[in-house]
Amino acid sequence: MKTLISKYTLFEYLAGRANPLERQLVEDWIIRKENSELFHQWLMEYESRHPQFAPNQEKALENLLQKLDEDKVTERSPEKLSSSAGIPPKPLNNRSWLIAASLLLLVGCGWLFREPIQYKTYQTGYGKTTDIYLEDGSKVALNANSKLKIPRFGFDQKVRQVMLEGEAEFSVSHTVDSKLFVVKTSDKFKVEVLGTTFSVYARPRGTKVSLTSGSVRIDYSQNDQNKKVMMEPGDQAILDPVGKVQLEKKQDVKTFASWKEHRYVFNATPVKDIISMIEENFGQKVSLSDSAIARRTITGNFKTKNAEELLRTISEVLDMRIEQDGRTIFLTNN
Amino acid sequence: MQDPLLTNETKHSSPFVSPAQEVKVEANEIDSATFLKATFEQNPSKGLELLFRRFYTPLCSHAVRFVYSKQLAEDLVSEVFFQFYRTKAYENITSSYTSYLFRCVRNECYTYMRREFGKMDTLETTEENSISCYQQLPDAEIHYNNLFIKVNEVIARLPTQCQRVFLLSRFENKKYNEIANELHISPKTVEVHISKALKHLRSALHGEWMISLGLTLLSFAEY
Repeated sequence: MKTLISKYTLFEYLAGRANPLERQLVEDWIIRKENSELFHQWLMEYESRHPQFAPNQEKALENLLQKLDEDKVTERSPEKLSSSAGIPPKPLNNRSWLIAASLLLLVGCGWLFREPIQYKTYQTGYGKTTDIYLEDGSKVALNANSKLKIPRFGFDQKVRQVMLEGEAEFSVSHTVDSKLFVVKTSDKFKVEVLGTTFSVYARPRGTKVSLTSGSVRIDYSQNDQNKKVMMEPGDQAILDPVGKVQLEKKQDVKTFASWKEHRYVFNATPVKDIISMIEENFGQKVSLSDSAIARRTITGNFKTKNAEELLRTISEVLDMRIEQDGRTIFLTNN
Repeated sequence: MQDPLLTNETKHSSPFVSPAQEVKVEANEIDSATFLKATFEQNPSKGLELLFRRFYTPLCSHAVRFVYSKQLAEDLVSEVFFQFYRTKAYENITSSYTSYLFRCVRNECYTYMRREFGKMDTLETTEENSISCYQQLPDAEIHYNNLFIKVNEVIARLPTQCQRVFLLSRFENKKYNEIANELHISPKTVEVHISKALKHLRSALHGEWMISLGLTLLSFAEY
């Protein structure tokens, strides 16, 4: 069936004055591919008849031509460079050598100190957490014994990229132009976001991403293959030792970064994991007298600022004894 | 309810109903198109100039319905011409110039608006882009239409003072201070009005982006 639409109806539709019935008719008409040419021609006529404003056409044309000229110049310049390379270089005099040498020295120094020059590094000691505000308005809460590197130059360019070792919670602010925010934990693992809250855990024991709100994408490579995982709020992605990412759905978002409030939430967590956590966050080595203890689990919510307090509570819950030997703490069965 | 004007129009002046007129319009269009095409073959920059003089104002007029800023509309349209010339898109254009340019401008406007007023879903579209669907969705044109009609409605519904401030700031590209002086209000109030208007737009346009995956990629490569 061929619908007939008058130019007038289309104009009314474009002006937002069509009633729902007409609107439907016009839309049915536009959707047909064979009408698209006519639709655009009428659109052109509509805009020519009812111009919204009178732009300075000549000025705009001038700017456009100028821009095209500049574009041409930049495209050609590489050729120019290669042609000048054909001219034999003049022999260098003493002064030029001096300049060349000092330039080399400068470059060398730059190379040596490239890390501190390129990146601003935030580092937290054992048992300390800190909040960092980035220039784009994003906030990072850095957990104990963690390191965050932020590029000094070009952070606000195309992609906002930071490097993390340790654990941190990111509240990324969304930019007008939807710039990506990327957290890299290794060459093989990175998290990409636009604006959202999530925490990243990247320590020798493993890598873990927990999403509180928004949406993020994880890029990782497994066996030299690039893979991607999309996460939804409440998801926790865990990178296993083989290099595979596993997604756990519907986790309690409140527990993702409870360390910010110096709170530790355990949910049937094995003692083994807890003592690794204590070592990571407080630098306190804990040994167990009996490997059976490692498998016992604890559930609960502890607020503490130091390892001793946490260990004391745990040992009371599990009915164990704490013994200190030099720098190491032993947990033994009563 | 049938509009009397409308029935009138269908009877007499619709190009579809009166075939003679339709032929005339098309013939005109084809004439100028062949002329433009010939010019592009011989002297591309002359062709660009002709095309620009003919389409710049109507295209800006259309773009401004989406973005509600003279400056932005002009920039977007200029960018379309720039890319059109730089990528030599005029060499393998299959539709009419009118159709091509309007589609590009509408697509640019849509993309721009989504970037400014859309939410987080851009993440998915970047994925979508890499899959690269060169097909324009059939209902893309309708989404474009709905978008600018909606924008217009939202702005029309704003409280008078808020609307005035918003138009001065966005459409006329005036500074907060100038507006404050002109309307005898404090710059702070100007700011409040503008953020209110933007909030309205954002929430009203919220639904427009959901259907839009893949729509963005009406790239120049399509032609």
